[in-house]
Amino acid sequence: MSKNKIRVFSLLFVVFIALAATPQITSFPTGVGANGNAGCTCHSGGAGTTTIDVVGMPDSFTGGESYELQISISNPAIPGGELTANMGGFRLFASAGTFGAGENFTDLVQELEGGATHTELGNDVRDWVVIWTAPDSEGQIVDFTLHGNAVNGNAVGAGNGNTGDAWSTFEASVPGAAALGGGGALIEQAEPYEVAIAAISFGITLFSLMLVYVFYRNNPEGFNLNGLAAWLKKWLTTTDHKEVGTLYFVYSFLFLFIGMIFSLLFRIQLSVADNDFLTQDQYNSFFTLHGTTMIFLAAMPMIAAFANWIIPLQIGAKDLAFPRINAMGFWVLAFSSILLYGGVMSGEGADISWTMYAPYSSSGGEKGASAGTTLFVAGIVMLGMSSTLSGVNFIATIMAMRAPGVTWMKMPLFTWSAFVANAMLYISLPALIIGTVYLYLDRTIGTVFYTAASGGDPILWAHLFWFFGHPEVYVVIVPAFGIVSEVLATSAKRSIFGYRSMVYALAGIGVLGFVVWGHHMLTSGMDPTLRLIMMLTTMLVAIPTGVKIFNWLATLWGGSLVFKTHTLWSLGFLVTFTMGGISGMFFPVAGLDTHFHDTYFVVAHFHYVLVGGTIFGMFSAIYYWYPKATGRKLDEKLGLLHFVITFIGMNAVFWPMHQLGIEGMPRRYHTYSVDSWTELNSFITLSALIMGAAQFILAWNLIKSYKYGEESGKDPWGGWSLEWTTTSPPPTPSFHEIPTQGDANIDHHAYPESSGGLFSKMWKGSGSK
Amino acid sequence: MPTVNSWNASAQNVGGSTVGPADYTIFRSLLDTWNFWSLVVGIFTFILLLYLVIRFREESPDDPKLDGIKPGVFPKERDNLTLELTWFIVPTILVLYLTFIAWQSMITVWVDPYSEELAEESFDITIEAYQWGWNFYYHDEIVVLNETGNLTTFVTPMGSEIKDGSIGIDGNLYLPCDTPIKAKIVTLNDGGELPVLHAPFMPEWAIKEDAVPGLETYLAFTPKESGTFDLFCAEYCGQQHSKMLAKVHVVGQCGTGE
Repeated sequence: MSKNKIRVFSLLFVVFIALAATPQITSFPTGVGANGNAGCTCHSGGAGTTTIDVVGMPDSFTGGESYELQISISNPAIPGGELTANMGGFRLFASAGTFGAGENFTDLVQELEGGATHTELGNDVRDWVVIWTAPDSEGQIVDFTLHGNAVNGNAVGAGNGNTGDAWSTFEASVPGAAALGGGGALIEQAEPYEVAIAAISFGITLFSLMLVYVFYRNNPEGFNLNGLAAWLKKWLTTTDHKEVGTLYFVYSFLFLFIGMIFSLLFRIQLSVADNDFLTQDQYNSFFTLHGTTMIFLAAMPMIAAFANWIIPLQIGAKDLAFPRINAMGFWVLAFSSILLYGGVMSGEGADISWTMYAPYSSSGGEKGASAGTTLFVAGIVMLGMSSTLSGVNFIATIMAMRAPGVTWMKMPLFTWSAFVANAMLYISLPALIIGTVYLYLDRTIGTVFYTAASGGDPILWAHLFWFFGHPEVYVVIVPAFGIVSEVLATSAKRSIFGYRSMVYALAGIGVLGFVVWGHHMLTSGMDPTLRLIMMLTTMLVAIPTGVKIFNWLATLWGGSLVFKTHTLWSLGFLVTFTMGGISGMFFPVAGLDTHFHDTYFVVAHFHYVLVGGTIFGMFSAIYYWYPKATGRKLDEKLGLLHFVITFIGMNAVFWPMHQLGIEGMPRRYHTYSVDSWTELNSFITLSALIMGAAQFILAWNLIKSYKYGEESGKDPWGGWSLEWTTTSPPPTPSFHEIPTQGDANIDHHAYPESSGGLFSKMWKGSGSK
Repeated sequence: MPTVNSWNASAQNVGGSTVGPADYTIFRSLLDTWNFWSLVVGIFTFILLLYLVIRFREESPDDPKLDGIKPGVFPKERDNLTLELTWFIVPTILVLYLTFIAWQSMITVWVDPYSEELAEESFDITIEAYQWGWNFYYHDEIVVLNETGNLTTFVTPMGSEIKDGSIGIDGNLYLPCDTPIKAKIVTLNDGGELPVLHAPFMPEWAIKEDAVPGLETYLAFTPKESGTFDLFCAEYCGQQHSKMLAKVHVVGQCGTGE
């Protein structure tokens, strides 16, 4: 072992020891003499026979107010009347607040850190008055512990004389005014915040190390600081669609894990009834960050990553239409995450859930949303800006930069799905941006958009949010449709069945997606007429979705299916997404929705759609297009292991939630007191931990295969679209010459005569544009 | 305005909301129908998928590519009018059928709060939500007599004196059995309270409705079994959302039929 390594290990060892010792630095303050937490042990008499009376202990306290506590101890066996000195003592602890001596008792009582005790003079009486000043925060319960000691005076002039004394304990809990009022006890505990912050810091450190390592492996000889700076600068300033796509991918992958850590922390909290692993504030903040992270910082950027990488390649463009706007879109997104997480580091993470319902989200103070919410809302506005920038870019690219032969109805389905998704995003985003700007103004300069008492409308937020929010969930599922269409057709070695009806179904979902938002608000006090309309339109969404599922099945018919990892993910998608789609049909029904709304049935449904749909689609895309991006295939054995554990784990986590929903377990609950829910919840938590651990297989596969994967060549899977005609990885700019897409239908004179489908006939006129 | 002349059954904690809605709710019959059709659609789809995956799996590694797929060439289109129309029309019929079934439930759970018919026979209460708890006000009385005819329990309506045997002032909700309940839902508005959304959720009757500041919303339902049931807050309302709980006691004799 070299000297250097020994030094490094010694340093690490010292740091480890120092870290291990840190928590012990704050020890409990010691009292007068040997008075510890266990009572007045300076007198070792027996316990229990002494009576302690405390007058003036309030039922609940008001923040900052002072209370006079009259403490008196008595013990018939040790009468104090005849004694003149050394009669008793006390030691009072409280979990919050400050202490002082009462009027006329300044000589007898003294303050201690975290409590009060008698002075040496105060040893000679059995009654004391202590002033307790309550803490400012009313949302807590203060615990008092008082040890009182009746002393028989025998120490006076007789040495230590600590025989024949007796002490006992008095305990009380006083809730703050805010902790009362029907609410339960507030749990005070801080560790999981530190766990979350430590996990994030640890992740960022590992991530930085990985960056340096990747740079080192690129060129081991040229490894120096100047080279690293130049290399980092290249990545920080790149505008190439493939490199921005890689940035999006790495970013979304990092946040996929951060979002997962949050979910595992609150799953542990929910594993048993009445658990107190997390405090209420932490739980509320964690599920908020989990939802927002997974939707806005993991799913959307992951889609943007594939759209960036693949769209120009599929339509034969050299780059996206606006490369610099594209890069700006990414960097706005990257910095918005700092705002979203800004509150977490100070223990004031936003606690308004990803739906950010006003007027709770526009409130502040003791019972309102936490201080970090303002930063969080600003972050959401930035996210909207980022999505607008990247959305306009994809729309412009697809509309204007298609290579010859890539007509609208000869466009790969992934590009079609990205087009539909971005068009939906572009139309729906203004509602979110307007809504969050209103919210930000409500929080910062005192406008009253959502305050009913001042003429604002609390339901306005729900309308604005869900006018964006429902198209948004289609924005994250529609690209997965495109990916599955590509993967299943390629794996079955066939063309997709019913290309035209697929496109119409996509467009149909895109249009219907805008008129169903009210099904999120069927119990919100919304107008009954709107409820009726939304119920009908929501039912209709099932039809185009059904067309897509049966077209996928028909694509497999007569094919020759190969079981690559990406095929497995797409088949898994078919199973779980169909289940999620079916459970979605339960919500537009009034009699079912009034029960299922905001219960775990909803949680089960949208995780079947978002994990079993979006995430499975994205994983399919990772295995499918990784060879195109790196020139090497991912390891199939690790991929199979990853798929099997995740598929089973996903069903084990989310299927039991349907049952919890039927039994009426409300979502966003920090804890529950129904013991019969513990069994399913423990099972869910255990499954979630296993499923979470399995994701490291994918991370390892991505890193390992970059160097050691099997070389893939141009078209490893047998796909037809233009990205498979270029080298892997593609050059920059992506095509030296703009390619021309051929058309098998024209070559074989098979189109349009023999193509007898309804949709073909409808499109006959412009099909060969 | 019901006066229940029967011995008190409130002490028996029969039933229980932790197993989901009661059998007599419209939720149960709808859930059965929806479960049935979900199984039909699901089983059909998954058996078809399984069959296709097994029947049309790859025979040999150098199986020729079907449909003449070449990189850079849009493949030969395949479609079939009859099939596509089938899976457009059949789901449409199913969806229309399910909508037809669902229609009735809308009238049942979203009853017109201003209906005169309901006003005549209903037991009226107001549920007032605040951070984090509930106030219940009664606009009618329930008098429950025991077997010997002596008064055992008496729900205190808003504004009336508290008498011997009064209930309804302990933070829990008391309801008569077999009587339509009309609940007005409001948020507490006294200046000191933060006006945020809440939602009383009673799993036993599969109902919930948001309490919205500045708005009056309504719930209507009819308990048909006595017992003690849960009331949760279902709309996220801040720190102690999960502690915003109450019990619902259904008192009086059930099964007299109304």
